Amino acid sequence: MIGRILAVAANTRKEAYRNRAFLVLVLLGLFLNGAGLLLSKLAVRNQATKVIQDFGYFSVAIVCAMTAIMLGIILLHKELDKKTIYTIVSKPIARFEIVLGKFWGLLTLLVLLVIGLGIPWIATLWYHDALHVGGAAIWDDCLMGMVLMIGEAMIVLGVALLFSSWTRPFLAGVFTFGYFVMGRNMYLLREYLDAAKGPLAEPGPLRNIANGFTYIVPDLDVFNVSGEIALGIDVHGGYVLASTGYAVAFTAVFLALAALFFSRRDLG
Amino acid sequence: MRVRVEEKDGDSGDALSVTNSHGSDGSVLHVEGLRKSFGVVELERLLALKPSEMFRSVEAVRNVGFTVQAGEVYGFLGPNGAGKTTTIKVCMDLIKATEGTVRVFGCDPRNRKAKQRVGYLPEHPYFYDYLKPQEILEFFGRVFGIDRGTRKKRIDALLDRVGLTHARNRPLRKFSKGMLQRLGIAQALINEPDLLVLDEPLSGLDPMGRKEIRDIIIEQRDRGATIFFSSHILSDIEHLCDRVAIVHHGNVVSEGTLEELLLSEKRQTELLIRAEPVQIDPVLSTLGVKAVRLGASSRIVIDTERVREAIESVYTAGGTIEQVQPHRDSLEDLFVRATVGKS
Repeated sequence: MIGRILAVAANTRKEAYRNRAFLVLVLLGLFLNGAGLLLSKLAVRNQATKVIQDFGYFSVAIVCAMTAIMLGIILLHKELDKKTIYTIVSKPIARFEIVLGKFWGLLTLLVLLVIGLGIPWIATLWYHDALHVGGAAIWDDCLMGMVLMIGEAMIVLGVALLFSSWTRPFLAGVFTFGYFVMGRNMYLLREYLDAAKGPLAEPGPLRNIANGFTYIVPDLDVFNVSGEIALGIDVHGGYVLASTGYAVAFTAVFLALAALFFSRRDLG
Repeated sequence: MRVRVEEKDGDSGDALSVTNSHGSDGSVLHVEGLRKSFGVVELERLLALKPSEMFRSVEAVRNVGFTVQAGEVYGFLGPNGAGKTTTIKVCMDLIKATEGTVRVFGCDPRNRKAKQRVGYLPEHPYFYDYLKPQEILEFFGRVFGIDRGTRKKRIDALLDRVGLTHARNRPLRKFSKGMLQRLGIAQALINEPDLLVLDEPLSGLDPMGRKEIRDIIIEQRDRGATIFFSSHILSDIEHLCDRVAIVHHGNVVSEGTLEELLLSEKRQTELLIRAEPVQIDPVLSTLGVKAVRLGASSRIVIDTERVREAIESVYTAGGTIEQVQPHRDSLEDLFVRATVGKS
C-alpha cells in the first residue's frame, strides 16, 4: 500500500512542480518578499525591520496557502475532467490510496516551497540585520513559524481535496477559500464566545451554532506567529508540536471524508 | 431500487485471492442484467417553476449481458451512445452499476487481485500534461508493484513496440491524439495483462496507426491474453473478433460468434455465372433477380430453394456456372438489421 501511495505522490509532485501555476505562485512569493524590502524604505525609521519581518512572513504563508488551495483543486479536477483518473482507478489501487498519494505528493511539495521561500526571507532578514528583536535572536522563531505554515497548509490542502472529491472545481475553490478565510478569522469568533457581553454571550441557538463552528472549522490563527516574531516573543517547540498535532487531527478527518466521498463517486 | 451488484470481494482485495484464473463458468468477464442510470439535474425546470421535475434519471444501459471466455477476442459493437463505454466503465470499477452482476475473473470489479490482471485503454486516453511517456509508464509500473529491473525492460520494450522511443522524454502535452493512443496502449500492457479491455482503440488513428494497433491486438491474442474491445468500426470487429455482442439503446440485441451471426440467416446463395448478357438477361428476368456484372461474369444472389431452378435455366440458356456458395451477410448487414430494425 505504501508503495502505491508513494507512486501517486511522486507523480503528483512532478506534475505539480512542472505546472505553470506553481511557477507563477513561486515567483509571486519571491516578488512579495522583494516588495517587503521596497515597502520598508517607506516605513518610519524604526519600523523598517518590522515591515521586512512581517511582509516576508506574510508572503511565505499566503503563497503556501494559495498553492495548497490551487494545486489541491486544479490537479484533482484535471484528472477528473481530462479523465486521466480512468487509467489510474482501473489499476490495482484503492481510491483512498489515490487521495492519500495526492495529499502526500502536494504536502511534500509545499514543504519544499516553504523552505524555498523561507530561505530567501531569512536571508533577507539577515542581510538587513533584522534577525534580532530587542537583542534576542529570532531566527529559530522564524524556523518555527515555517513549520507552522506547513501545518496550516496541511489543513488547507485537506480541505481542498475534500471539496474536490465531491464537487466541481469552481465551487471547490470557492468553498476552500471561504473555509480558509473563516479559519483565519476563527479567533474573532472565539473572542466573541469568550466575551462577557455581545451577541454570543447569552446561551441560545446562535451561541450553539457558533460553538459548533469551532469544532468543524479549525482556527488557522493558531499557525500565525508573525506577531510573536515581530515582538521577539519566543515560539516554543511545545507550542509548535501541539499546533502540528491540531493540524494533523483536522487533516486526518478531512482526508478520511475525502477518501469516503471519492470512493463513492461515479467517475462517469 | 433493486441493487444486487455482488460486493463480497470489494476493496479489501489484499486479503482475497483469485485462486482460479477464471470465473466458475470459465469466464474471464461476465456481465449479467446490467443496468446503469444517471441522475440528471435540469436547472431550467426550476426556472420554469417546476422544481418537482428538476431531477430525472437517464438510463445509459438497460439490460446488457455477455460472457467473455478465456483466450478469445470479443467485440462490443454498437453505434455512438449505445452504452458501450458505460458498460466498460462498470467493468473497470469507474462507476457503479445500478443493477446487475459484473464479474472479472470471477470477482467483483473492485477486487485488487483481479485488477492486477487487467489492462485498460479508455476512449480518448489522456495523461498528465507535464509528464513524459517514460515517467507515466514508470508510475503505472510502480502501481502494479513491478520491480525496478522488470519495469525498465518492459518500458523500453513497450515504447519501442508502440513507436514512441523517439518521444520518450517529450512532455505529453506536446503529443498528438495518435501518440496518446499509442501511449494508452503501452500503459494497458505494462502488466502483461490476462484481460485487455480496449474502449474504441482504433478511433482517431490514421491507417498506419490502425494497422499497428490491430497487430498489437493480434500479438496479445497470440500471447494468450483475452481481449475485449468496443468499436463502431465494423471492419475492425470483423477482422479481429471471435465473438461479438451488438448493443443498441442500452440493450444487447445480438450476441454470438461471427459465423453464427452472419450465417444465421443463410437462406440465400450466390451464383457466379459466365454468359453473354443477351443469353442471360431473359433468364434473370424470369427468375426475378438482378445481376452484378464482374467483367465477363455476373453475380446473382437467389433464395436457396430456387438454386436448382436457376442453374438449370442458366445452362439451358447456354451459360455456365463458375461458382456456387452460401450468401454470407456482411457485419454491416447484421449491424443495420440489429440496430435500425430495433430503433
